[in-house]
Amino acid sequence: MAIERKLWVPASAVSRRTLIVGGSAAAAGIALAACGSDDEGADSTATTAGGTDTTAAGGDTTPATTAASGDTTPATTAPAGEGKPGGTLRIGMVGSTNDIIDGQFIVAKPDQARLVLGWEPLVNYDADFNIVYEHSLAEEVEAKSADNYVIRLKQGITFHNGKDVTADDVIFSFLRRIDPDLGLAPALAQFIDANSFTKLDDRTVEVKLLQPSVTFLNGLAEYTATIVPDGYTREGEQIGTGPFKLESFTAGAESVHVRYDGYWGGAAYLDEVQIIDFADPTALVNALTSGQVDAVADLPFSQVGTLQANSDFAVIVSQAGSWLPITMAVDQAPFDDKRVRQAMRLIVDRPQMVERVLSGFGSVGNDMYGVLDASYPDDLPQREQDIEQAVALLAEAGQEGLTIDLFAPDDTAGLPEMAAAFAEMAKDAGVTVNVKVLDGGTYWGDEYTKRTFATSFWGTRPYLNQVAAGSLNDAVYPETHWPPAEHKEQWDAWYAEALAETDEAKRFEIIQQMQTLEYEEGGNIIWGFNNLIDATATYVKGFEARPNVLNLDHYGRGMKRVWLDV
Amino acid sequence: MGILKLVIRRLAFGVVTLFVVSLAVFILSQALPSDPARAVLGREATEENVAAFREKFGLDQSAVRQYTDWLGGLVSGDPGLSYSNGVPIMDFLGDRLKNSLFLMFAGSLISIPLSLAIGAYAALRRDKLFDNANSVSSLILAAMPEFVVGALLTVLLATNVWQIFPATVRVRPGEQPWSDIDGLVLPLLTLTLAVTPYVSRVVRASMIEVLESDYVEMARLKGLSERTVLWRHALPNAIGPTFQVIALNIAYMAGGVIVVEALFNYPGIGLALRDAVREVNLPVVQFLAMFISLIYVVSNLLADVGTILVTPRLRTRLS
Amino acid sequence: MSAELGTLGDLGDRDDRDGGVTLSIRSLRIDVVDTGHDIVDEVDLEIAAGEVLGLVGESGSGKTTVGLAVLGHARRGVRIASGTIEIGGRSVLDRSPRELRRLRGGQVSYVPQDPSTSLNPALRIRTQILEVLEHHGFGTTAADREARVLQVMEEVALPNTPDFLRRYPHQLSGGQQQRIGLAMAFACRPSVIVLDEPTTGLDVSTQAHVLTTVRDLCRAHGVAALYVTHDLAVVANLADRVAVMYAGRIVEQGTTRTIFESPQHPYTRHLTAAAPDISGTEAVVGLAGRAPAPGKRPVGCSFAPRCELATDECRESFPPVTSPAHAHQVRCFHAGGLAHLQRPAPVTLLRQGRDEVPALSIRHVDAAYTGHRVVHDVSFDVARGECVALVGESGSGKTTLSRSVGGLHREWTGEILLNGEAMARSARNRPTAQRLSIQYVFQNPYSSLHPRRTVGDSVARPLRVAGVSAAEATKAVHEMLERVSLTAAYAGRYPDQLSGGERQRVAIARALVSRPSVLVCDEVTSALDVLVQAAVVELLVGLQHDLGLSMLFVTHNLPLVRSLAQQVVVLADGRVVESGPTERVLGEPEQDYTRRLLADTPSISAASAG
Repeated sequence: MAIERKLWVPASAVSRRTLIVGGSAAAAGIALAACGSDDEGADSTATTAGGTDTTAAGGDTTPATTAASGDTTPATTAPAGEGKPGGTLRIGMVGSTNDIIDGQFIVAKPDQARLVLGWEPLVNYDADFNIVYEHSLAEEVEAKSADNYVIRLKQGITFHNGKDVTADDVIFSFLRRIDPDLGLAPALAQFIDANSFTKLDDRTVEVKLLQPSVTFLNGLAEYTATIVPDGYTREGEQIGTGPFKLESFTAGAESVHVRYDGYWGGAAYLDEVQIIDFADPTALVNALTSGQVDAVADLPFSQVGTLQANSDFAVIVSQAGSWLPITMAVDQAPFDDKRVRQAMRLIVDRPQMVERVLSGFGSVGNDMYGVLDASYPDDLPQREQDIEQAVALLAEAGQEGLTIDLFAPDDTAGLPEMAAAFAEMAKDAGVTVNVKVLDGGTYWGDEYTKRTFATSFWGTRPYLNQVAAGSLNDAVYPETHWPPAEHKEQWDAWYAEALAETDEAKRFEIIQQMQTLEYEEGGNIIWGFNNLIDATATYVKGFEARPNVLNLDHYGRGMKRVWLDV
Repeated sequence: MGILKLVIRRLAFGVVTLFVVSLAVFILSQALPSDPARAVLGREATEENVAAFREKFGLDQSAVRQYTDWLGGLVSGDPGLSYSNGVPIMDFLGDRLKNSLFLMFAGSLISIPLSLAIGAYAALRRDKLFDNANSVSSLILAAMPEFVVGALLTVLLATNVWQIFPATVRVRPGEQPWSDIDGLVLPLLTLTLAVTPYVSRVVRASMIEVLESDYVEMARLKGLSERTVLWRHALPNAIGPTFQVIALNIAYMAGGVIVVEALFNYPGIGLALRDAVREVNLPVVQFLAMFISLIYVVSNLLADVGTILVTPRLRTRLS
Repeated sequence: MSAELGTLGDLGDRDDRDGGVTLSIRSLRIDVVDTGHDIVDEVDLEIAAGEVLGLVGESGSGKTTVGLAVLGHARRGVRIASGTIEIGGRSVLDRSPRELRRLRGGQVSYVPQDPSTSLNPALRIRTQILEVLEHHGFGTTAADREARVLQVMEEVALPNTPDFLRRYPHQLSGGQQQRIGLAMAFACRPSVIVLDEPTTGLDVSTQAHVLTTVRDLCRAHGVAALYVTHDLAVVANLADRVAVMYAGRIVEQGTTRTIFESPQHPYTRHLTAAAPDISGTEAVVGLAGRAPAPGKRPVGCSFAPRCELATDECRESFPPVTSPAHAHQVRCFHAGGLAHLQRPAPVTLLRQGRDEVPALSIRHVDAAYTGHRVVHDVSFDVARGECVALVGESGSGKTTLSRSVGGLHREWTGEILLNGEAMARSARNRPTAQRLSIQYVFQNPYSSLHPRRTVGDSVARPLRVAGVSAAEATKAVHEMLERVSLTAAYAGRYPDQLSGGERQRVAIARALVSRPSVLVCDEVTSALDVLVQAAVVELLVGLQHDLGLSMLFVTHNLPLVRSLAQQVVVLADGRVVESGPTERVLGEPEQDYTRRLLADTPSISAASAG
């Protein structure tokens, strides 16, 4: 997973083993996993400033508000525009004493909100997951080649202490993220080191990568890839460029953020934002209902109906790109026969999975990841349950009446349920699936990527980033052991080619071949993607429902457009 | 002087109890299957990370050394560092300890006199309306776990039916636990409803026994007013046997606050304990186990001493 | 102004303290609220100032209920249904609660049965006496009341030092506690006092002192006293007149002398015949059956079911009050019909064959109780077929010794020989044959039987443990139940279906079923009413005679000894003070201690003779 476990930093809170534990719902964990993907984002080859919208200069263009899935409800709070200034917004989130504050790192969900309020990255994703300069500090990132980029800051950006943001701050921010002692984004160290940067002028930096990476821009768009002032430390003064400056923070309790009037994009409406930690999702909802908080992230599924029926509250359902796969090791029997893998994929009733595991709050998947990526293959036919075909394939492979163990961890909400649901579905095809639920520590331990048939979770990633994370023989977590030997040469060639291809159309062509192969023969069973479900009091205005990586409309991009209609 | 000797003896016994508990806690945590360093650092951690972790937390020492270091730390008020963030435990638990103690103290302060009053009144009005109503309602309440009581109260008084009290407490950092008086209503009510049925039933039984006693009959036959009979003759004798139950309930509250704290998001040790258990944060778990044991020991000590103080037969035996 | 005058001024309505009737009870009926069953009915009593009336009856006869009614008090679930109670001509029952409170403890006071439970354990004795004075406004100043506390302490012969007054009840002996009860009762100088078995559970010497105090105080202050008791000997020594209650009714009433010398009611006759007398020479006579409980009382005379003289008339209606002589009332159609009961002569087995090996031999036994030595170098023998009474006051070590003999107490040294063979300290270490050969009967028949086991199972148990077959055991059980005057039908019953006397018989049957050579009886009659006690004693005497049983009979009840034992061992402070044949020891005691003990024991014959 993306966030590295690091000394004194309980990455455990977000890493595989503890992710969804105690969380209200699978959605919580999945969304968090999504955020995690960001830190690895910079591990691919270069491209020319490949993002389609890279030319769009800074300035607050209103993002698209189209819901990417039929399941998502339309925007529930009025868009920004003529907001009333003033007031304090209290946001409740499930957190613990392990919460931290860091301009470039998170361990738990509330940390995300705190980070987004105070710090900003160089570039950003728009609602269609194109890279844009909106809400971010770069005026332009020019890709001179796949391994050479020039980053130019917008003018007039100041830190909370009034100092201008300079090239030195940018260089410091990059180097801090690869500091091995901090371990914020260790994967980035493959591409940059202390000698990669040249300060061209006060607001321009040239970066020479150690190796080409077409996804360098994706890396810059991660919400943790922020610019902190030169000399920033977690222990020191919390200075960023965001709309709100941290005033106080107590782990497991609350943080208070006050408006930064010198914000480059225009001061926010709210005087103050409080992020309040709750231990229990029930208490969180109660606090919203009885008025102790104005907004909550991750509404438990069970509460959605109640709050939707109540005109005092608005429920925000946003599509997200995280997923819970069933993984088959393509080099191990019986899955070394692609017909068995195909049979398993045909056994799954995807809509029913969405219903059972996500209580319906998600969208149906098609055994393909990277759903929010522009390269996502919408044209591939939707795979549906076909028991007859599955039985036939199994018979062909000589695996009628197959009996197999399916492993799941007990610390990740949704996975045991998913495994059980699959076992039921498999019965119809004459396949006996014995679900083995292991404690999280054991599950994610030494055997984790060695199992033949298992369950897992992944966050939102662009396609190529996800390949690096899971679909290479030397991937970070090679759960499916993809590619199989017969495709290895081809697959690795395609991958290298794609990373090096700066022309998006050409790159997408390569990607499409990869996707098709995995769609036909891959080891992941991907039945759906989760939604993010948040709720606010109706007097809170400015949140919109749209595909998102982070809750509460990416925490309102720092709450700069959120206001209270009271 | 006799009582002092007793207190010292009981204290010594309490210390021995705590010592045994500490041994049990330590041995149990040693017996956990997973290596704490691995568990906390995760599988991505390098050997160096693990070694550094083990060194920082003294896990490279022998078990005996670890135990004595830990025990020494406990005794000197320094329970060590939290695995999860390397911060001294007292730094981030100090306020939570205070908050939890306050909740228990306030809960006791409300529920104990209330239990005494209800129990005594029910005994006086034995088999009458109040007694029967109280008997039925306390039975129902006693049968409900406090998270159910708390949830019902929340629905009734905070969220769905009436919105009178806040559903959650907000004790802001640096503020005293009583700063959110409104917010404390429901947690205290829940604790009170969890404890009062038990204690009041015991008080009632004890009171009835005393009211049926020969000396209370004798007091009436001496022509004393009912007020004197009740306050001078009955209550002082009825209260002794209830001390143990009160102590048990205070100790129970030490556990009960965990649930109540979660329900009402009260920043106490309950939440810290839950987090710590989830994260295999052994130093915190161990420390909180010892803290809860301490409350058990202290409340039982107080109950014993209290019982002796109000029971002349026991008190005079000491001197 | 003396405190005395102040009292008179304060308590207005006590005009007839000299002469005339102070307490008058007419047609009193007290019943159970829920069922309406009578507890007592048709009770008529009068007590004059300075007079002591003994109200005698078995437990359950309703005598305490009457006593409490005098204070206008009925216990929970019970109510005073009808009748009148007047004190000094003023009704008690018509009073408001407030007036009742003024009455209680002031004009009429109560001395409870058990001082150890009737004194508040949490209050110092000074407080408990003083509060009566305070609530009744005794005297005019606090100093008056303080002075009265000191005075009344003197009157009940207790120290009145501040140190003593600061004590709590548990720091006093039983006798001292009862004197505090008396002090509270006499504190406000009442005109009527109700004493409810105040000497039960006290040693004879303490009892003697308390009784003397009661008598002196009543005489000196002209108090009308209602003395409720089951102990005829006490009544004989204390009361001017006696009223006998049976099943809630007064069946006979007259002067003490009349009642003891010429009882007219068959029940009274039986009571006197069942009472052991220290100076009497006759054995006690028991009576089968038990008094009917409220709700189970017959239409006619409630004694009819047990009465030798009962006729149809008796069973049809309750006899009216007749007065065979002046100041003597009786309710019996056949009054005087039961002239004299046939009393068996006391068993006078002579100690036979001294040279024979004794059945039980106690040699230089020292015993300790949790480290404290309570028995010192005690030696005596129990010959075959002989009953030895081990007597002593509480704390004399007699129970510790008997438990050591029975193997129930391990902390002893010395030798205890059974038929010449030394026994192990604990019954557990004794061979089965030895264990069966010495049997123990406990004081309390209510706790010594397993409540979930039938009588038959309980009795058969020693045999079954010894390996006897079920059929044989059943046969033996039936035989033994007959032996103790129960029928084989009792084998299927449970203890809670039995009366106290029946339970004790079962306990004896259980002890005898293994045909022991020695029976140790530990205060076996002390929990029983006098008629039942007599019956059990009769049974034991018969068993001794018929089976040649040897017995160690432990008791504090000296009069009982005469009916039963051939030899007496007097124990005091764990040492043998005196021992010898019963006649000799009780008739011509050699030791001062024994003499004092005998002198303190109330005697019916001595009292009625005097």
